[in-house]
Amino acid sequence: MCEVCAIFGAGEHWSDFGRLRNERFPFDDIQHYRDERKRRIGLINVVLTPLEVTCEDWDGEALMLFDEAGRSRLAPTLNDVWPAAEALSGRLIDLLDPSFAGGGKHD
Amino acid sequence: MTERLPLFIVTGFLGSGKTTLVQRFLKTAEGHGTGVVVNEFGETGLDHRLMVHAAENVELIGSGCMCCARRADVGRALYDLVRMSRQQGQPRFTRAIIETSGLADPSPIVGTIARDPWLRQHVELVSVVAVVDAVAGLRNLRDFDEARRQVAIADALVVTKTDLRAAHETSDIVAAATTIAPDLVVHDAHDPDFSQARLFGRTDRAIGLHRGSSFAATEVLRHDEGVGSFTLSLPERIDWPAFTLWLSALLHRHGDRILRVKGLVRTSASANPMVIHGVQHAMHPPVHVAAAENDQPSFLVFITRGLAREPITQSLSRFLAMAEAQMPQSAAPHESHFAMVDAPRHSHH
Repeated sequence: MCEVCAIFGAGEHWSDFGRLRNERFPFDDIQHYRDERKRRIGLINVVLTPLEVTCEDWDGEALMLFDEAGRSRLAPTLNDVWPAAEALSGRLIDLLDPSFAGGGKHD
Repeated sequence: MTERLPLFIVTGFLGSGKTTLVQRFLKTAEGHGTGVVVNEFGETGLDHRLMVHAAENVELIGSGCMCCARRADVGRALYDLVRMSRQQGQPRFTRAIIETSGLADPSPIVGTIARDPWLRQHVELVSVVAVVDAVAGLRNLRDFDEARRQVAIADALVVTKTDLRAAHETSDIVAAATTIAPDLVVHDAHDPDFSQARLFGRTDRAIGLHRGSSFAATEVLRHDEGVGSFTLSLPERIDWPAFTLWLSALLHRHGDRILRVKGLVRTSASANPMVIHGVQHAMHPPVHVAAAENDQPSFLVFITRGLAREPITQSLSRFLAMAEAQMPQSAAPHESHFAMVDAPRHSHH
């Protein structure tokens, strides 16, 4: 987040919205960025369902993962989500396995 | 964003002619202002004022996967080069070339640039150029994993020594290389039309992708070492949050078997098509392609080791279907969010 004007940046990860505009602070479209971020977190939660790990936004800049016991791990970017979730749950995420994301129990 | 230094990686097996290629380019008018990073001094004969030496130190971290090894030497050399290019009184470099050693796997270099926050801001990896010579190249590609890996992550192929009597047919070399990486932009170093300026220019990557339509039939899985490639056709407009999530998780688990992924995508979130490009666990920021180049169908090329097309296709289909089912009814991803082009810009300090 920009400390001067309190407007959220749009992330450093290759997949982040700012990269689509080639700029880090796409102010004109910030609401779209926020919507996309919210939606992505929803999808992460579907992927993480078999691991019994949940994901929440952390101040618009990072992601926070929780296991059922309430333990948490911070994931600064999307890349960090997967190892953090695996560390919390002791299980591996493999999207080639049909039980993940689409073939499993979620609705 | 500050202007980033365009970077080219020149890789190729021992004796393939990397140094000759780089030297030849430096002597052209377009080569002026190029900074070079080499792993070995050897008999390079390069102008030392343009050169930064990087002793080859590879630090293996984490799982020991080569693409996650950090090339601190390369990082340091590039840092020096960017600093040099900005000092008063120094000619500003307009591009940088890293010439790898003949046995080097270039993926740690690519990974280092992709992961280092400072380098990401200051250096733009434009293209990986693989040099294969027409005399020993076929044998090297057959016998040496290093040679195959160099070609697997390359964007462009330069075939050298085609003028020698012992040279194999250029078409055989090209066939062997494009079996590994079907989207290579091929150059013959002895072709009168061979343009160094184009090879080390900014546009070459996009040109390779324009042959996308010819990829559709490509699916080669070689039995001996299991390196093969295949192309997935993508939906006309892909759901960007879902697609990136899928690719990120896929590379997390299988990046060591996905030597490279590259493609042209149109997304729910951007008006123009984009080129995406990754080497093993490291993805690069998407590159925007002008709207005029808009007519290629969207696709992804995978170059894998022992990973077949079908499970990946099925996984992507499952994932996109899941994402669509999760979509709030009121917010289809195809809705345009680009109407605000004239909105006043917030000035950021």
